Amino acid sequence: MVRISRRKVLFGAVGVMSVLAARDFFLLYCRNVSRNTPDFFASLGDESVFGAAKAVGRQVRRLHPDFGTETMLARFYGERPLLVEAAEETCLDTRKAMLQNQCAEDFANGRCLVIDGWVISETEAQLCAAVA
Amino acid sequence: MLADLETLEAGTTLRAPICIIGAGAAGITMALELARAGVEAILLEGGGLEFSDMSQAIYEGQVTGEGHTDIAFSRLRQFGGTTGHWTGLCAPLAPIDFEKREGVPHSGWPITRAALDPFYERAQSYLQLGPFAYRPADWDELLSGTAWPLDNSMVEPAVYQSSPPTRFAETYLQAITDAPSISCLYHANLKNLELGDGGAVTRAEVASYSGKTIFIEAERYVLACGGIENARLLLNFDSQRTDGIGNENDLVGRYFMDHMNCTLSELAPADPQGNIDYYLPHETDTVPVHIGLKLTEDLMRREGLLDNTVFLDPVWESESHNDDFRDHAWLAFSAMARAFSRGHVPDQFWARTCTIADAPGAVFTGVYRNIRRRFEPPGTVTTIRFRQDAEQAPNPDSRVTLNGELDQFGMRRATLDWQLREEDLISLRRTHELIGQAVGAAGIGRVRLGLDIPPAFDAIYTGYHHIGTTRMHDDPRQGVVDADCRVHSVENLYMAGSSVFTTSGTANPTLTIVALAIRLADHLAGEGKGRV
Repeated sequence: MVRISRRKVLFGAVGVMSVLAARDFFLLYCRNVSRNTPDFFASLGDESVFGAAKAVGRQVRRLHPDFGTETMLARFYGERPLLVEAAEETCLDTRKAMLQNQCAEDFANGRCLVIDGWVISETEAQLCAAVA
Repeated sequence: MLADLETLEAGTTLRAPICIIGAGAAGITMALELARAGVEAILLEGGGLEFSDMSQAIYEGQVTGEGHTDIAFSRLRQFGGTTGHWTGLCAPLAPIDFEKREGVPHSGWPITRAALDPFYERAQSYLQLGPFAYRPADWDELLSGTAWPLDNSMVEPAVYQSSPPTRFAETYLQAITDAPSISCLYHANLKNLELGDGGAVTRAEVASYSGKTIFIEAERYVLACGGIENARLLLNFDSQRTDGIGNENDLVGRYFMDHMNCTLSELAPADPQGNIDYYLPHETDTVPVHIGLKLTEDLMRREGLLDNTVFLDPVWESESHNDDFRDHAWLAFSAMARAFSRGHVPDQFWARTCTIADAPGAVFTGVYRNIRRRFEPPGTVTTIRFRQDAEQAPNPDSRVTLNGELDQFGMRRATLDWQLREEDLISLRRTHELIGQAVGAAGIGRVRLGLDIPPAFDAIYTGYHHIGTTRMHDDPRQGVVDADCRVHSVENLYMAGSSVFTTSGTANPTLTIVALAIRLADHLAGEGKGRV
């Protein structure tokens, strides 16, 4: 029969606490890991969001090599004056709202594509490809 | 009258205008409806009044094809049938499900949804549901939260109601026993249907487990044994018709369909604090209501897509509010807890206890989380998963056949070969993509598709809905039964249950099974009067 000593209980408790602490530290680490989640374009100043946007952009360029190129972007911006305004906007919230409106309009008109499983708008795809 | 076949004398012949084989949702509903119309009926149940291994063993068979299905345990062979363990979600099939759809091969029922509406309305009370109200507007004032502002030319809310769920054995045993015009025999296993010279069924041979045989002589017979068993019986009756009764065109057992039960694709919400109450279960004064999302019928037609309702499963920041621990052990535990709380001893007590003992982890997790969630707020929504019972297209290669093994009554056992096609999954993917488009346009968030091209089948599970093996069609070369559910080639044999569905739609089938049973009972009662 196994005898439970004070020492074993202490070691056990320390072991459990270490595992929990390790998990918490890992979760802290995870906060800085860029996730491939949408809405990444809205504030490209945020480094983790920027990383995700680049990752998506690389996928976009793999499937659509012309996306994000200067020629394509020039034409694209020409068709979407709201984006030009957004690019000049310094207020982050206003810029985000303008971009979201443009994305919503894309979706409403069926201008969307599937990248790495995500259903995203053409605007998102072009901007991500541009920063990739 | 209710009796055990064992108590009757061997060789007895019982007579009634109608003989119903199978006392599940369809058979019990039909017997009660016929009683209401003053028509005598004999109702046969192969199992007993409670679960028994001996009866259940008749359902054992082989599974080939898609691996994520089951032939033996999804069904219950006892009085009340599979309603002994169904979960209760109900909705009528959509009008489009009855149409001949260009993108859906072999679709097109010979009846319309409008023709079935009056029967759906009557079916509601059998399943202890609320009013026959399945338009979102019917529930506007009663539901909490608000619907997302999605483009209503693309996506609309779908209303489902929850039955308690009605256990037909508990709920209707007394009514069946008390009805003077119903003779219900249990432990009564159909062994053969004898055909006369004119091609009509003249006699049913029925046996008990001890080998006692009796005979039933009726004017009309109804097989109501479920989607797999209806086909197995017809295929086994090959002494007078080489390929089995009703199988002149090699259709019996073919077109087997199930719902593609899966949690695939997810929505990353733009606002994790956004309110999604509207899409969570609602308790109302009359019945619990669930709201899902589905494409509009116009869009489905235009895109040639199969039907699907997406239910939203939020994943909360606080783990205690997530239900991802649910498995068979948890379901068994919660069923037992519910029964005890109502002061009953749960049915299948030992079977459920053993299920819990086999894998108690989910029960511990579930109890812990349910306690914790009383004190802990759910936090924000991290993601929203898409859960569904998606439609598969009718497929002649998906089928129930017989194998060489024999059951206790010398009848060949069934082999289930559930076949899905790549197109079924691509349709589901496109449905999610279009929902993603509508969700993006409304600024709700972004959808990530859970299916690639080519799609993988490993995330698809059975919905435990066995459909289509004696399908309804006006043309005997395309269906086993006609619009009245009569077997084309037998003038007095009818089929009841989901085996007659031409397509599966996306709605859980029980409400439609009961509605069609009421319709068939009306038809038989009317025909009976015509004969007098």
